[in-house]
Amino acid sequence: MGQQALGTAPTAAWIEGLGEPEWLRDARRQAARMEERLDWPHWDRRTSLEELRAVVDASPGTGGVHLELPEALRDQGIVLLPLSLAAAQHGELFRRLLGRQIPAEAGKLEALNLAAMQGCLLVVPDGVVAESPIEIVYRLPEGSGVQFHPRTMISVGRTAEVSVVQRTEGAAHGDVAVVTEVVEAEVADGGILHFSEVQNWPTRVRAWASRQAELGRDARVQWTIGELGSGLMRGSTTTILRGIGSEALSLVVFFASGQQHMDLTTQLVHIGSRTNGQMLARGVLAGSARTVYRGTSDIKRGAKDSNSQQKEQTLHLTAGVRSDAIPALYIDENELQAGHAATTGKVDPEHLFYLRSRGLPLREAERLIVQGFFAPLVERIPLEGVRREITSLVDRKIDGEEG
Amino acid sequence: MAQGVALEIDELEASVEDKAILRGVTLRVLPGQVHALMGPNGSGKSTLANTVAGHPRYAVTAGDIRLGGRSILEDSPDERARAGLFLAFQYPVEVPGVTVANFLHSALKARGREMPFMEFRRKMLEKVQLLEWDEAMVRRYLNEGFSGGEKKRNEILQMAMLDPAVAILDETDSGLDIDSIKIVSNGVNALRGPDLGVLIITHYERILRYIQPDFVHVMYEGRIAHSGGPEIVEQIERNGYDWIREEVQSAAAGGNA
Repeated sequence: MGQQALGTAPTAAWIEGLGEPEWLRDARRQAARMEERLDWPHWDRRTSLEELRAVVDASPGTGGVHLELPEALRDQGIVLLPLSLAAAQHGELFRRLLGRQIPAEAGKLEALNLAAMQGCLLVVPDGVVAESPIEIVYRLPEGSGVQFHPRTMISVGRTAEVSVVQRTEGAAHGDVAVVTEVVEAEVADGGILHFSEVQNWPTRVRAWASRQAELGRDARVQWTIGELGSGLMRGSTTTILRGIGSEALSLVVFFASGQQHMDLTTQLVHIGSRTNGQMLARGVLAGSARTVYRGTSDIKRGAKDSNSQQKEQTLHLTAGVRSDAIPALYIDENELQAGHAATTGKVDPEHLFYLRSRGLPLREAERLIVQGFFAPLVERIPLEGVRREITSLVDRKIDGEEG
Repeated sequence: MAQGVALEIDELEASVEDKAILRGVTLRVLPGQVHALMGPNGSGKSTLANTVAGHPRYAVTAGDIRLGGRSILEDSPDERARAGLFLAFQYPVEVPGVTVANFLHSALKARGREMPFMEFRRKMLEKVQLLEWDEAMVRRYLNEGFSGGEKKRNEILQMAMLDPAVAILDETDSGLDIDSIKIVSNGVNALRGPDLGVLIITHYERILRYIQPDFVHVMYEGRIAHSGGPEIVEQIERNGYDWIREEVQSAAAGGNA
């Protein structure tokens, strides 16, 4: 098997070999053609995607898709299936959802993901309140020159409610690997989606991620995104507040150390009136890490009496780091409230001295300061398991810091 | 329990940003003793406290500081603390996101005295009660939004939990009302014992009405100008610090003659 640059879509033979229904193979083939035709996305001087063009195998690897649907939830009528089974058993819904939030036409990497996707479909029927969280784990395939393209599709019915915890992981050692990750979700009127993701790809991964949820009337989404892994991460999380009175809360916790480069976007698109959105992000940088955080409020005409707020704070543990905050407000409506605040700070030497004067070694003092910095956001994470996981991954990153 | 350890300061000279502040301070605090260090503002009292604790802003240019006979000049602030030193800060900093309880638990762990949660909690509650405090305070973020009195109480709570061999109280009484001074003093008095050495740094005599010192020193222009017993406290209460200035000046004049 020859080595080709990423951007070479999966071959027709690879698609045929998946044994999926014709309509899905056709969708993949179309996306593959689009991927070939589209140019590399243009990003600004802050983040280059050249590294994503690392040489990888022509064919996508088969990564681990581990799904956990407790028996009780199955009995409630909730469906969670890998894509191949979902295509066979819930073809109509699958076809309706596929690419509606993140279409292949949106760009080269969107198209690549659709052509080569693995992943799952989650369906929560109208009125069903999931009793416990649903877990999705994507594990990087073994081997060298790997690419992996997980996609999660979610449909939350009217007044239904569900918590999803998505984890990404892989063996720490190995060659450069490339990941594109898509989450597309629709939440019907009065529905509630809590989507948590703990992004912990090994640092040999160059990743691109796009997550989007569209909300019906009075629907709600809470995003909890822990960005901890990947050598290069370009991720965006978008909420389309279409329904009147819909609400979004986005919590982003990021920690970049060593050589990590993270470029993270959170976006609220207000379409319905009386929509309410809040984006909160806190990030820590260490080593020679580089981060960009882009918070965007896009308020369309007609989104009267809407409220869009964002706040981003970063803490620098070392001098050799750089972080940029790029808030943006696009407003096409007069009656609304919007606001943004961004702060960047270094660890206060007086704080360190105070903690150390009680006997805490420098690293332990830094650990308390970092965990304390994240605490106001971590405390708002509804799931205890996700709180603990993010806290312990932060601890492990501090342990791994040189010093 | 901390073993009795002497703090010995010998001919200590220290500067901040190349400005000499301490000009040869000699002081010995032995186990079981309570010393008071008084003096006008700017005489170097807080500099001495911070230099002993190892604040990176203060550079020792001459002399020595020993704890239990061993020089600690090369020790980091946390090594000094683990060797038994404690500084109650004049201005405790606010550390958001870190609860008092979590901080104390981490500090004990760093000192090799990690204890089961129930035992830790029992000990903490005991000390909270000693300071006539509310248990809810330990769940709050470290000093964040604390009043002046609460911050100082929190310093003494830490002292009580960490069980140091030598405690330096840097103007713990400043900015406190009389009730808070009493509570803080009761806390310190309860911790007094044959193994603990205490150095109380204060501008005013008020706190010394509640914590009886064995020895009193008066600092002036970076040196200890006068040492004696508790009677000095009354002298300062009556006459302020002018007599010290005159004493130093006449000694200098005498020396020149």
